[in-house]
Amino acid sequence: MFISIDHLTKDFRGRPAALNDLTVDLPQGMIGLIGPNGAGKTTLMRILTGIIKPTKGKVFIDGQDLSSPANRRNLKRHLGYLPQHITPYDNLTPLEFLDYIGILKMIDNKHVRQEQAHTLLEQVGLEDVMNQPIGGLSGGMRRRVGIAQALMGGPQLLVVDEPTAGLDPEERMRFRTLLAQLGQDRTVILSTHILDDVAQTCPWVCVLRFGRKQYDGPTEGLIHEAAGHTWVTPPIAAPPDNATIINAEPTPQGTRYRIVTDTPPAGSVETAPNLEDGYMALASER
Amino acid sequence: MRLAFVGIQLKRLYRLVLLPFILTACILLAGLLLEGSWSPGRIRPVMMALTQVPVIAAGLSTAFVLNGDPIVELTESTPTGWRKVQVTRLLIITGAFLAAAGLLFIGLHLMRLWPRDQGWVSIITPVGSIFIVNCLVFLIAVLTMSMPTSSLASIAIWLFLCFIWDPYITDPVRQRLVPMIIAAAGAIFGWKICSDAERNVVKVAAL
Repeated sequence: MFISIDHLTKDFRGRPAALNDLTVDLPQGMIGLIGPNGAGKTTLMRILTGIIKPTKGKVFIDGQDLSSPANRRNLKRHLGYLPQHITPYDNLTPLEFLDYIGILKMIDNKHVRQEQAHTLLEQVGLEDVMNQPIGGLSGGMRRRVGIAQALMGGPQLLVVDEPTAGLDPEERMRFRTLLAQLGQDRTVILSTHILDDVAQTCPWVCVLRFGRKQYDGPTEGLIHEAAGHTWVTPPIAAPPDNATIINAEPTPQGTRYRIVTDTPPAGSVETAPNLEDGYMALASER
Repeated sequence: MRLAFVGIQLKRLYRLVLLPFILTACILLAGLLLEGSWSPGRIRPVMMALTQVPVIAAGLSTAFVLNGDPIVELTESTPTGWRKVQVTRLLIITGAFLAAAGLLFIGLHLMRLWPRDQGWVSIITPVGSIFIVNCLVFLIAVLTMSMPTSSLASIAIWLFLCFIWDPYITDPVRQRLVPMIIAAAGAIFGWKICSDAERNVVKVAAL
């Protein structure tokens, strides 16, 4: 699915615009949506899922204008959505919950629903607990129930908001592998604060800040923003001025900082940037 | 409306759907037991109190059913939408309480124990009370999306009917018809508001 966003603005009463004249084209495949809190990521995803309507501007999905109620209804038939805060019903089993979501997605045939639910629960590694109440499952397992429900009906557009928040490293790894597989034959929009997840799975990235687009393009391009500006300092006592600190590694001689700056302290060594460096370089440009 | 959709909602609510029938059976049983030992004049005040229990239970059950769903946003992202879910739940719970209220009236009427019985037309009293309370609780639930507020509102509506309205309007039809029309208008207003997906999602997120 090809998504075209045209001069999109969303105002909420009494608050600054959540989205401000945003224009961006998103290709098929895995797309990372990143930005600080309040950048407008969740608002954009709610518009893309047809839940809320923009104040101004339009969204086209495969050329279909989402301002038309019929197109929004049609989109919802081919959409998978994992909201940031999803608490599946505790008293249902994963199998029953997926069946319920299948009904909401208007999959009328019971056998089709049950077959899909079984397959998806196997795909997310929940085959052993598919008949246990969700209330007894771990946080990671519940997130996996969440992603499985999003995949009911074989959606062509998958929108996932902070899917790996609160997961342990093993679960996170498994989750992003699954997302990367899913992105091979559909459009997946992944909103996250965990840049490593984007670096590992998304060839395309869109950065939002204050409701505006700050970057939109290949992930490599965003990394390149920090090329020639990423340095590792020698162990020093105080953090360097005029630099964005990416991380700090304590050593017996002092702290070694990874920084993005144009004016590194003496003795700093230039290093190859990663997505975090590129993102911070972009953030410091504003 | 599709059968599977109604079926799954019914499955979620079946305990609350059984509640009015259990209450009706208990009240009828109490009537039967008292009938043997007490005079009708002594039983009727007891029945007057007991017949209020299903009305209170209807309001509280409806407040419970219509609030606290953790997947409002997810439901709004599906072609079904949140309004259809809410309205289906309201119809199921109200239908169960109305049917049970009808049975309760028939039972007590035949035993000549229904308080202020004016013949079959008096069936409008219990049925109307439940209709009024549930329609207005639906409106409050849509407006506030809060279970405590909806529950308090259900009690307030019952108190109004029981202590302010009913003692002064004694004709059963007039007693129920006017508030039923107002409650139906309130429910239609709630139904219209409930179609606003943005409002539903933002309201839940703000709770």
